[in-house]
Amino acid sequence: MLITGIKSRPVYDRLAPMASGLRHLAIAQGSGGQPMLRLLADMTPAQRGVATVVYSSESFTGNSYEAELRAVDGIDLRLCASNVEALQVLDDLLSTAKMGTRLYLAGSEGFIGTAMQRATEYGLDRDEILREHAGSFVRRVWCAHCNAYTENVTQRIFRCPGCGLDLVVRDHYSSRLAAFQGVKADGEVPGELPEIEELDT
Amino acid sequence: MTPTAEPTAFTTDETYTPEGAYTFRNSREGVRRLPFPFPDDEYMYSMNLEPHVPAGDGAMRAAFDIDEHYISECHHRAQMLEAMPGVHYLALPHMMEAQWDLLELIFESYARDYPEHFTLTKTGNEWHWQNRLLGIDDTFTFGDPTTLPLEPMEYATRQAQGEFVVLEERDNDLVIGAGMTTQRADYSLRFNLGMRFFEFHGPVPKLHEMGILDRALKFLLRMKPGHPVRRVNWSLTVNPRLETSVETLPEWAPDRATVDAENAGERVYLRIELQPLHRLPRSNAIVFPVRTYLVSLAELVEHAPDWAKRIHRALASLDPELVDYKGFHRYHAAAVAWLAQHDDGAPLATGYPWAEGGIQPGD
Amino acid sequence: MTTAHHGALQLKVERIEAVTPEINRYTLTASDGSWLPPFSGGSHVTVLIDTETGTRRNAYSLMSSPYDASQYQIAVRRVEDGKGGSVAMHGRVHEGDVVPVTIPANLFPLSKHARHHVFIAGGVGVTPIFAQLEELSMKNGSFEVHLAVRGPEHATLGRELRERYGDRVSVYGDEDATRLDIAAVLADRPLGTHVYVCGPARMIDDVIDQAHRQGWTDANIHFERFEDAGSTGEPFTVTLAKSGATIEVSPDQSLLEAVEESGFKLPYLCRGGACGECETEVLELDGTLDHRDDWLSERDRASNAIIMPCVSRASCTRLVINA
Repeated sequence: MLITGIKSRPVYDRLAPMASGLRHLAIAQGSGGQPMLRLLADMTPAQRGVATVVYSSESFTGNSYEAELRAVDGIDLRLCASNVEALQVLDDLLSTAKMGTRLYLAGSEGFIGTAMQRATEYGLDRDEILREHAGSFVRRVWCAHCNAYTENVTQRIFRCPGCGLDLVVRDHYSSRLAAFQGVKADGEVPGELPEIEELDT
Repeated sequence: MTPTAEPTAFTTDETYTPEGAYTFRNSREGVRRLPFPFPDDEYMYSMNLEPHVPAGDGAMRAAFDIDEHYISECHHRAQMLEAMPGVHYLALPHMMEAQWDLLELIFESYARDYPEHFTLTKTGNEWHWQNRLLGIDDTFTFGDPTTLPLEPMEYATRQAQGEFVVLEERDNDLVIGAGMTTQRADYSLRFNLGMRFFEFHGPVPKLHEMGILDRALKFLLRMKPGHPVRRVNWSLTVNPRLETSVETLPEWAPDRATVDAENAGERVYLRIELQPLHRLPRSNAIVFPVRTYLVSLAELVEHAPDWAKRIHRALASLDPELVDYKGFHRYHAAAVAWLAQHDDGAPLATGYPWAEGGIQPGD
Repeated sequence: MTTAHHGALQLKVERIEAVTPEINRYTLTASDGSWLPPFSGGSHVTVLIDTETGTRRNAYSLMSSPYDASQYQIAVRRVEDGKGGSVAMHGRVHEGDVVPVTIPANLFPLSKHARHHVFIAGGVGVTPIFAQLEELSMKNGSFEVHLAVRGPEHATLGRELRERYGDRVSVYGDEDATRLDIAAVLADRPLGTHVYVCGPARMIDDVIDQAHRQGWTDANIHFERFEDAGSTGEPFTVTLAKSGATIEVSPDQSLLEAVEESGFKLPYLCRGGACGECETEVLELDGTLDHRDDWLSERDRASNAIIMPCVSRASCTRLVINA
């Protein structure tokens, strides 16, 4: 579990069935399959009967819980090969979902952040959503200079594929962009880079 | 104190950019009316909020201060917006109410405080706005965005000095919902939009530990329309450059490495931020304006010698963590060394210049 | 903008119209012809009403357009067995009179994030919706209104809304004697729907209960209780610590009213136990507090250290408050 001094990084929950919900929509990616399985096990059969589960087997660490999820009885399971596809399925489901729906998110920070963007667009409130982080804390980074996003950043300094600048990753997270901020690392004196370090992934 | 000021001589073609050769200059009167932000020899970070009531005949006379740079600054804003669309002005869709609130607040304040330059006439919700400094004469329906050439906030703040961040109140928190920020100091509006109070203050050192933010948020949430509060803040910057956003950091950050003890007087500018916060009546949003003033260390020495002595002492004793956060560790020593030549160590008054007995510019 | 005198605006009663057998609509303008302070849909003002037994402070929702700073409109239902404020508004206030009115405050604002707004109202509870719909229609917001009335002669305000907004407004209990089915109104709504209810306590409780049953969370349920929350009861005595004054609170007045009548001031906004503005510290208590507000937490109540003087009372031999 990642506890840092980064005030803008989301605080994550532990997935558990929300009894007040009439319908349950759960979406997970990669290692997020594990908390998803735990959530489904904690549900009553009636709750599982009104649950839709979306799972993307795309993963940074290579962990897949596809087989285990297939083995869960009585759920409406939608399997996707990529995160992009899973998020599109989520979008379709949200567009027809009714009040009383509860949303559960599990996976990488970038995946949860992007799913949160969709949920917010559809007017879901924070108390209708639970999110649990799973797997590695690789960062999704937004380049302040060229607007490009880079997934799975693990080093404090990296080269932006969008503009070719060496960026330093600031400990500052934007929920709206679902990304950390990257800015030119040798801004003051070209070539004078800060020390290279592993991010607290 | 008299409620009226001498007529201001407006400059119209100053530049705030290297392309424009940085022709920005302050007049002697322009310097001596500044909201100088150092009440003591030692600088202590605090929220220093006080009721925003008129004080003196300088920058604290009006609800929203304008000065000799008004016309040049509005031109600069227009240039910045054109150069980088979608970067300096953003408003989330649900902020339309607050946009009208802000337009109303700025226009009513300007018309009341500067009747020689601005006139607002209302007939029901049909409004007639005249801005003689920029040559604008428009009529529109208040509340109906289709009757304006731009969104209400962009329309109003293109005619206003300073930047404006509008905070929406949501679940006992304040969330950034809109901004006109062509003068922002090392942050990104695109990145910060949608952030909550603690999130956008995240990078400021010590605030969280000191409990200052908790108290500030509670205070702001209790704010009511018609009872604005203000605070002043400051930083240093190199060259009279207003636009120092994260996005353009590669353009301005190298300037920091050009300062030495010889040229610090001309190169280094004190950047004063006057922040008069208002609760907006319809949207219940809070507007956080940042009226930015630039003054070089040399201008302070020439026109306000006591303020130059004061800033020397405040900078010399500044907490290194704040030096880092404010981004001038590379030239902090040079600025202090340059200022030291102009400080005889004489005792100075304490308190803000607009307060009774506060520090005056000196002769 | 017109200036507040002792915290109240001096407004001229421009026009009085009878809209139902029980409800009058008052149009108020600044007595000096200047602009009135702006407000948002859902706001209320407190009118200081001169009655035979003293000054009453009654809260009324603003129903005029939030975009028109030249006038305020309120609707007042005559309540015969109330404290006399509404009766005085109907009987003693005439066109041309000047009445003190507080600056608007909003404890019933629209959600800015809703994708659809559903309004449910009973009788005179429809008044805040007038201003809210002005706001929404200017913004092209999606909405619908469900208004229950007690018969055709009470349906005037509902018909006005139907004229303005057409089929988006349903009036129940007018000529066709249809009934409002709250469960059906709330069923199968898309995500991001918000419901607003203003009317009798039972209607509010029904809406909250039905919405919860259908899995709505509190963030999407908005209500305003416009009727007297019930601040009357057994008499008691209170001592104000700062002045040492001892004040008798009679059975028909609230603690706040008693303090005001004795010439002292406490902060207030809603006068209905909802907003938290009048929260006051209890310094000494010999007896029990009778908390009637919606503001304090269970822990606050149990502490016996805070009271909301606008609605709450005490059964005690001694009560000292920090005022």
